[in-house]
Amino acid sequence: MTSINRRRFIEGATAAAVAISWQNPLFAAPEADGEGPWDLVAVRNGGPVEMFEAGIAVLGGMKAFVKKGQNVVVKPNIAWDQPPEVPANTNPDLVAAIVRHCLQAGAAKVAVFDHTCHNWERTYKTSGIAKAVEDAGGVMAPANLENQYREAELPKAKTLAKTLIHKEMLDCDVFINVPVLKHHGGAKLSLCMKNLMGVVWDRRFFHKNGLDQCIADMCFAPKKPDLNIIDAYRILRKNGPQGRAKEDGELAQYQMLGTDMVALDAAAAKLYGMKPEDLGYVKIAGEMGAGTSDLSKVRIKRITLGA
Amino acid sequence: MKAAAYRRLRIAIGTIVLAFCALAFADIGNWVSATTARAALWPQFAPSLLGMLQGAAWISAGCIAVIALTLVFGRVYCAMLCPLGVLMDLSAWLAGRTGKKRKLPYHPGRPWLRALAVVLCAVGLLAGTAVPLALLDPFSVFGKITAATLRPAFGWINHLLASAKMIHPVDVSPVAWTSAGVALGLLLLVVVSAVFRGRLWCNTGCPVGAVLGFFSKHAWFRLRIADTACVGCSMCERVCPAQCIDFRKRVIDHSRCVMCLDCVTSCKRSGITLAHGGDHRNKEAAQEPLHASCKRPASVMTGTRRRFIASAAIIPAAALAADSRPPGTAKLTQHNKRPVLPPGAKSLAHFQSRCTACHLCVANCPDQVLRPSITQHGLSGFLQPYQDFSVAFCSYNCSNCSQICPTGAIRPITVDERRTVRTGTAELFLDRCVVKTKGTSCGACNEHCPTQAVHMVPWKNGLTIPEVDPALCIGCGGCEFICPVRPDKAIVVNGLPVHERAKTIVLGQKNTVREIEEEFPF
Repeated sequence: MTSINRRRFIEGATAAAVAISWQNPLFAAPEADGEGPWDLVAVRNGGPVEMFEAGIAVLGGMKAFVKKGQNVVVKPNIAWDQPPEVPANTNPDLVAAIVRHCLQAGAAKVAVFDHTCHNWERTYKTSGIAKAVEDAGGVMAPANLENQYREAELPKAKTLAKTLIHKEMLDCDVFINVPVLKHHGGAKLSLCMKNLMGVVWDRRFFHKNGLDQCIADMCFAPKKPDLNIIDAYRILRKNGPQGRAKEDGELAQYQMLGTDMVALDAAAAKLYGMKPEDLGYVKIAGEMGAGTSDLSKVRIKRITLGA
Repeated sequence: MKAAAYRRLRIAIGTIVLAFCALAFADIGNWVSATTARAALWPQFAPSLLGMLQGAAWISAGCIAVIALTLVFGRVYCAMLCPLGVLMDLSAWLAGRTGKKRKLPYHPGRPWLRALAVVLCAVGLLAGTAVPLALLDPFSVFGKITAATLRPAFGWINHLLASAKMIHPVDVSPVAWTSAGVALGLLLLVVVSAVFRGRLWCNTGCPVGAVLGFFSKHAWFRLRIADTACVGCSMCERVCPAQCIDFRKRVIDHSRCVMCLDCVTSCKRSGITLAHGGDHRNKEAAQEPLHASCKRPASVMTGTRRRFIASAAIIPAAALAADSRPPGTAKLTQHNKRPVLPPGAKSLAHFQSRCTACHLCVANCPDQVLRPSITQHGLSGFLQPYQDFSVAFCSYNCSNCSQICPTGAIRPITVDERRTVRTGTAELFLDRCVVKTKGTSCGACNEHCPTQAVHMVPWKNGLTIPEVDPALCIGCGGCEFICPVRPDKAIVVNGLPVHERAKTIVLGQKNTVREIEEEFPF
């Protein structure tokens, strides 16, 4: 029996690595992604703005989504009175960069809002998003009163047949959904579809009548996101969705862009370390035909910055 | 100083006081910071006295300064620092400008009623309830009126302008019809009595007026009618809103004089002056029966006396009926639980004996969770605020109510201290929980829990179900507020009669850093 020395170990390990990664899409190198167009662009190893600029460039720039004179709504997650270091809300720099790109693409107005869980003015402020957006030329819209919402019907939905949805969202030309990847005690993870709960007035209905089904039903809202950007620069790993302290956050430096919320949520689940099918709403939305939860059928462009 | 100049000063300062108090009590947009409010309300007599009785720096207490001022110049507080007094003057002035001028003849006063007001308040405080004071103290009455009338009116205007996209909308808690009713009743009483009887309230029902009247009798400077100048024209008596000038005897009852100095300006012969020692005839005049020739109409029975008698009947009952709720034998729901006090209130006993229900905290609560109670605290806590988790919940990052409370009923605490004060405990009823009853995921209570006292643990079919760690709970009410289950919520925050300290949690102040993987995980 031959003993394992260093040379044999390296040879063996290399051979095994080559064998495993050979033509395996899961381990494809960035160059091996093939040709576009892409369903999903994943960027990593950079700041939130850098990653966004690299990602949106692959998708043809913001002008592929926003035409001159259009009204844009950017919907980040601004639910909790927490600073950016506790990643309970979307990164303010990312939101500002999106607003800037929309305005450069010729948007007439860029409104940003969320139906916050904590006191809205304080949450807008503490999250850093109010200042970032206003400096970038966007408008923070309030979402604290029922009369800012209008009843909308969701004919294709199973449970959420109709609900009050924020007028800014219903009336805009372009809707950009910008969730942050975070842990959630009830829904396990809060991602693209879950972030849409922030355009709804009565969230208790969701919790009361099957949270996963109602979250999936939001894919059939009258206005669908034209672009989704999952902010995973910082990930809330535990104590979500509110977070207790900075230690709950992980500096992960990832970002995913795309139009298919189901695919994006599935990819984000894997980034967090879960299987897409672990998330009830991803499973339901996939079955309802709202998107593709099977990532092997999704054309993904992977970019590692600074590599 | 010339009397006319003083009168202008009184009107100017009074206007500022009235405007500031109205702003502070109708504050819907955080216009007034807690520090500003506390500083500006420093001379308010009753709150300051209550604060001083708790031993908080009594030398610097505003009430001491007010007593000192009274000992020198008389009831200047009543003239321009009391918002309710100024409101009365304003009502009477407006009525005088629009309707006919009402002559107010001299009245011998009702010293026994004034004494009763003070006794009632004192007995209430000794018995552990500040409710009599809450209904009689002018500052607190003004606060109650403004917070239940002007504040919702501001909120309505704000929402009107906001729907026209002119300004940002604010959250204003709804006003219960009972507290609105009490406030409107008080407002009506104040305005009507001011229009018809001037400062009647200040010399019958007001405990502050009674206390300051005791000192103003001996004030260093007092008003005097000069025998040499007086021709008995009666102008001074007609204009005196306190009805304390007897022109026939040329005496002024200094214990009831509110130092408006309207009489000084009314006297064509400059016969009334502010002089050291005042009028020597006062003492005898106060005791002497009325002269037969100057017959007065029989004393007019106003609402004040009736109210007095009513409150006299209520108070002993109130003191007894402290918390008559039966002990937790029936199932606990959001309707029958003990109400949650604001953080800093320390205990129900501390809070009830010091809160004059001025509702400054109600107006200035950024989350609008504080609302005036009706029966929640029992009769001995009537109108004192409680946390209403059906409309909002108490923020983890705020201690505004404790900073703004002018009486110290809510002791000032910092935000860090607030985070470890337990005002109530969350009680979970899993048999009502939607995860168990419907088998669907929820976690709304856990979402809203700032300390993770309510956390989710694995349950059947990959679902998670809430669990409570009582040591971490601070009673903020987030869980109860958001719980979607009806009619009885699955998680209820029961108020603590004595606040406790929650377990302090030491948390890391750094993000963990993810190692960039060889490959993308998807």
